[in-house]
Amino acid sequence: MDAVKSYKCPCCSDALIFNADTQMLHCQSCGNEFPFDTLSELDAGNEGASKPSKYNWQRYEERNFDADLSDFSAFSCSSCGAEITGDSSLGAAICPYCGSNAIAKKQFEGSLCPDYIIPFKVDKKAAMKAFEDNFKTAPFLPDEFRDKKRIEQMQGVYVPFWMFDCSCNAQITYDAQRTTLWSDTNYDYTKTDYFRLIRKGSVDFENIPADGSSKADDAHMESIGPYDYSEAMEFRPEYLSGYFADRYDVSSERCVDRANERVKNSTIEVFGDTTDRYSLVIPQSTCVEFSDGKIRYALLPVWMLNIKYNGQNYHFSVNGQTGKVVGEYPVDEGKKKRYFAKLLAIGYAISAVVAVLLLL
Amino acid sequence: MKRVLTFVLLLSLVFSTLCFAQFENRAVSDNAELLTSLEYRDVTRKIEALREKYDFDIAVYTEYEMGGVSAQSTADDIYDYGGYGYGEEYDGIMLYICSEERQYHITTCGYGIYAFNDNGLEYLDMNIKPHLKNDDYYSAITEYVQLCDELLEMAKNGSPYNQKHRKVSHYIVIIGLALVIPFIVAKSKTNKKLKAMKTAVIQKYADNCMKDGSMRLDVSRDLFLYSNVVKTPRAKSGSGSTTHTSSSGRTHGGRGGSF
Repeated sequence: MDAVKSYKCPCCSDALIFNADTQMLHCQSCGNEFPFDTLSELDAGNEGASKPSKYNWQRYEERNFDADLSDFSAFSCSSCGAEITGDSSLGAAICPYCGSNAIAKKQFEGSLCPDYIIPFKVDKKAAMKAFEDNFKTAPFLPDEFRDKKRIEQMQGVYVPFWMFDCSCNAQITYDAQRTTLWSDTNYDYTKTDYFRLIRKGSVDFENIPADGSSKADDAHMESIGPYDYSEAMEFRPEYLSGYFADRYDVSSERCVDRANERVKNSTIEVFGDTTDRYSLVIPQSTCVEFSDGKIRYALLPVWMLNIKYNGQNYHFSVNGQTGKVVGEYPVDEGKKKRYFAKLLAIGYAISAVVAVLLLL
Repeated sequence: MKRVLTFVLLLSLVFSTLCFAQFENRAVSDNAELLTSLEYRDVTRKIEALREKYDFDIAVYTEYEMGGVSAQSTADDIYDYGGYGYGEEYDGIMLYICSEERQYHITTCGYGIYAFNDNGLEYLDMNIKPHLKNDDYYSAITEYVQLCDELLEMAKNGSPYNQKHRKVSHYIVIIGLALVIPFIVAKSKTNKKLKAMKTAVIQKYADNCMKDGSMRLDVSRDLFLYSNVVKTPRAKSGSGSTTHTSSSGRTHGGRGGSF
């Protein structure tokens, strides 16, 4: 014999009892009534979505270069500790990560082979122009910061990235509300209908990047995308000529949490797009599952620039494929105050006119 | 010719009787003898002029001892049973003063409730009371007549007196907002520009990495659970006057107190 199942009120969590008149389950506390089918579906939806998410990634197997790398050298920065690779002809005067010139050339001792590489498409001149063009978006930039000589110190680096691919199944429940307003001569009425939304389906992600270098700024590397992966090539040492290349020192296992978080957030968001008929939607429970998620190792092109201003190092990155610039500009306090004062003056002039009109 | 002259005289007599019949009570009934005869005549003349100008009853009634239980009920009863008010709605206003009890009340009726709303009565009160406190009844009544003219003119133009145009707190709110809003706008715009100076931020989503057309929705169920209706009384957008019903059953507005 099946066990007797008891239901709780979705409104107030009180126990529901069977109402023989309406043939529905009745809540004595809040007075709501619920059909059996609704509560069964609600239970099934909650059960599926309340399971813990399972992110199952394949283990990444390292591969070493099998090409002749005798023309390459290792460069070590004694300031930030970066260990990077470059062709032996590079002067190696400045570290691309911290801007220090305390960088030493060493014997190259071999490195790991990436699964693919996106070659530099934006040359140094174009990257410098993109950086200068980006000044327009920085209204409080100090004039001294536009020094061409400093910008010329930009260096191209192939940054190691872990790329994550997965096809995930998701079951998500949302609490949703729809509000209707109306009035009669004496009262305003607000009717709120409460719903539980159940969404189940799947979505595929490809090339979710997570930088594998502890020296590269995570915020920079996540903002610099997207890259066009259709231009990704099988790795050949020739692509490194004239550029530095870093190797990963953060394992893929340490990066999966970032990928998992982004997959989960985007899955909730994309399924949430199917709930736009409601005035308020709150994700209630989410279960994302996938198995055999693929991890690949890639080198992506980045122009890096470090500019010292007022004793502080400002780091910028330019996407070596698209020319997108990311970073944080210093703020000229004088320019900021002048802009604020100008807005304030205009605002006060307008508000004075409006105030006079209201007071007259 | 004689017949025509007689007819014209009769017609004008009937017309004037009809007109004055609307205001059958004296404009000023100074039973407490608070005014000199000169002051009495002056105030009466002014009130009668206003009565004619607005087709609206304006009256002053004083007595030494209060006839009723309160200044409000006494004033209402004098107004209702004493034949005050113009037209079918008994439009009018009356200032009642009891000199022994040092109580006063302004009662309004009909169109008077609209023209002298709560804010207007407060305005009258604010200007009359200081004179009453000083036992300067003539000034109080003159002020009352002058303000009646002012407020009736505003009501006639479709916008009865509104306190917010006069009250100090209203000035403070407007000036305060005029000072604060530009500051907030300037600050938020500056912050927006400052935010644009920083383009490197940790990404929360992986939307760029979602394969086009890969999303498949296998189950989409929207379960209705329950409804909740909240009922709130609507703000009255009428004359903005607080009213009460007098012993005669008529609706009155008013305001008063002691001095």
